[in-house]
Amino acid sequence: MNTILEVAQLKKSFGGLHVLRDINFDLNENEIIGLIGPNGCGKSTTFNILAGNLDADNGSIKLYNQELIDLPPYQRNLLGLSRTYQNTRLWRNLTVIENLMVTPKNQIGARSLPSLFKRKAFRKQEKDLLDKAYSTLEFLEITHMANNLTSELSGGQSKLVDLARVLMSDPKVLMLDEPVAGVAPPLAEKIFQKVREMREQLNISVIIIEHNMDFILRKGVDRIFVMAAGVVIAKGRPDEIKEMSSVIEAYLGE
Amino acid sequence: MSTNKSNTTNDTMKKIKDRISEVNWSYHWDRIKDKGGYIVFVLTFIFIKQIPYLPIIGNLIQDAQNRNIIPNIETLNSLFIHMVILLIFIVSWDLLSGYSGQVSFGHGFFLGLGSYFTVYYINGLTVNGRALFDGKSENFINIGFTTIDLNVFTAILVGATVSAIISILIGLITLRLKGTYFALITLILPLIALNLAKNLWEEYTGGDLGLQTRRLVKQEDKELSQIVWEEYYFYLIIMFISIGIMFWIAKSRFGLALQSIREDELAAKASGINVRLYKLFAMGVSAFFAGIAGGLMVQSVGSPIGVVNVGAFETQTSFTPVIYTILGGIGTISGPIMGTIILTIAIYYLALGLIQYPMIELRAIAIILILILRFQPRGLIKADKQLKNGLYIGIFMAILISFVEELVNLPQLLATWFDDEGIFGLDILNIKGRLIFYFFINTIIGYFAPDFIRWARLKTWGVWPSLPDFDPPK
Repeated sequence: MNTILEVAQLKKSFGGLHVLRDINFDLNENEIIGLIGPNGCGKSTTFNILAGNLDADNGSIKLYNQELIDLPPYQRNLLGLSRTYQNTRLWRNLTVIENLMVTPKNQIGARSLPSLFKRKAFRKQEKDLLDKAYSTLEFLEITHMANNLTSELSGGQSKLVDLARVLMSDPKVLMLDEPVAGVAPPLAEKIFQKVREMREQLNISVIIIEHNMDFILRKGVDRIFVMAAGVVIAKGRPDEIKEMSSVIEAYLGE
Repeated sequence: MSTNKSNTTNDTMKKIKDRISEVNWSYHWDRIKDKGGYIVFVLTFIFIKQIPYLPIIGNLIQDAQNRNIIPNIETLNSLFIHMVILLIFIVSWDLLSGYSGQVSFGHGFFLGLGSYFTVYYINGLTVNGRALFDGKSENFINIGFTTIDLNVFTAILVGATVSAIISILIGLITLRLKGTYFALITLILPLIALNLAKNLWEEYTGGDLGLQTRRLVKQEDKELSQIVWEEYYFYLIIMFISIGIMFWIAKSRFGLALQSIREDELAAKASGINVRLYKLFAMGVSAFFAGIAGGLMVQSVGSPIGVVNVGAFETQTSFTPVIYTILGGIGTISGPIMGTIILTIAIYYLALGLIQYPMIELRAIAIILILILRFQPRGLIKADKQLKNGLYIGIFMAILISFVEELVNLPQLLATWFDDEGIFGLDILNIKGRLIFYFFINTIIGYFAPDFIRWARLKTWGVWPSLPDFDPPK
């Protein structure tokens, strides 16, 4: 197993508040890891820094041995780093299907001249992408909302569209920020199932932030990193993590 | 042999028939109906000169023209030239502000740049006694229906390009600004330009009087009435190409990316969209077409010379597209087109109908805009069905009544009911004033009629259809 993503010595402070003191973790190829920790321990900040939405004070992020820390967000996405949001950030005045059609990479239609002269390739790509978008929606059971504005969706449906949007961009590393919060339990199970399926079929790696401990311990992440107050205090397989006293302390208090 | 041959022809005929029967005609008809607005828009603009001579509605149109209900052909020409140039300008604003969400309150700046650099390219520019570049001589070329000056045409493109380049330079500065802050920067731009052009650089800009230049269409050896139509059709071609390009950009994946930036820039960034590039591109394209509109605006004066003055940098010019687009519907291409057509016609009628109070039509437009923003914030193109129907009924009934009003002596009746001052300043003795009056009354009636009918039905008849009591089968 070779490591594809390496995060080392990540530091971030907002004014005097040190949110991330020293974050180190790594992600192997074809692996699902969970990032857990109490509220305000810096999980979402880590995601924001990884995706480039925030600048880190210090540290390095290496994807396939390429340093990402100075790259703008869109280039990180093009290299294969895609994320979802805790509070969904959909494009609210676009329809669901339009939302999904923005993210795919190397679209001929996004470049002006090729879309004029390569009509045949353009049409074929367009059709393939639409098929893919509809099959993704079908899997997430929201096909009937395809032509509605995303501002008309419910909270759980927005989560699903956010997930679908990320899946459309063919990521290598998928960062899911609480993917099943507010989703009905059967569908939540199905989403985790799908994430594991995708890991096998598409050969992608996944980082999940999740508060539902029961879920994340039972339902198949390979390794867990426990964060508290801006540092990683423990890492290991779920059954190891369950036993660790430091983890129980961080979650439940002394 | 012969039977074989006829068999093959029969087969091909059958195949063709099968092909035809396979085509889903109702689907195509629906698509045509969806695009009906565009088709009417294009046909009206192309055949505006021939409309009084059309087979069926021609007589009606001529009758209306005789009654002054619709303007005569010369006025129509100047109205439509004005509209065509305005359309390029306003759609270009909508591409920047409606699609990419960078609301610009200073689009007149790019218009003015386009105008001035068009004129500089034709006339040449001399700074401190040193010629930066020489003027261009006449170079007429015949393009079928008219003869144009190719150098002037090039000048318009050059002016537009300069406008685009300067807009991209400004865009580089304002890249990180969003919403209000971007609007403030753009608001201040034309004011700076106006100040500079009026005071510091008056010798180059000509101040309020402006600079004079040649015209695009050859003016000699033809009658004026013919030249104005040649000009109109040439501008029309430029407009169709410009709006076509902008429409295509807006409908492509590129426009979708711009919309995603408008909706949520952070999410767009994280989804692999190069926000800086897209924003700069939107500014460049928008300023380019605003520059083309500026170059044409130099020409739109009805005289043998073209004139440019600092008027383009006035705040009023910059607010024109904001008002027109908000009325029509921001964030679409058909919205600003509809808004421009409606408001240009409305201003024409209001200016002639409210003749007792000069310049009041702009105040009337302001009131209309406030009402639109309050009740239909998404613009007329996405307005409620009820309001749309009310407006249709208003327009239809106003024209109908103005045709038949003489039969019942309505003008005299109205003149006795209201004194000579008219009502709300509407000139009742003038057909235009009466037209607005009829339109106003009938729109209100048309808007509230469905509600009233429903109310009256509930009071008198009850719920309709009143079904008999129905027991479900056991």
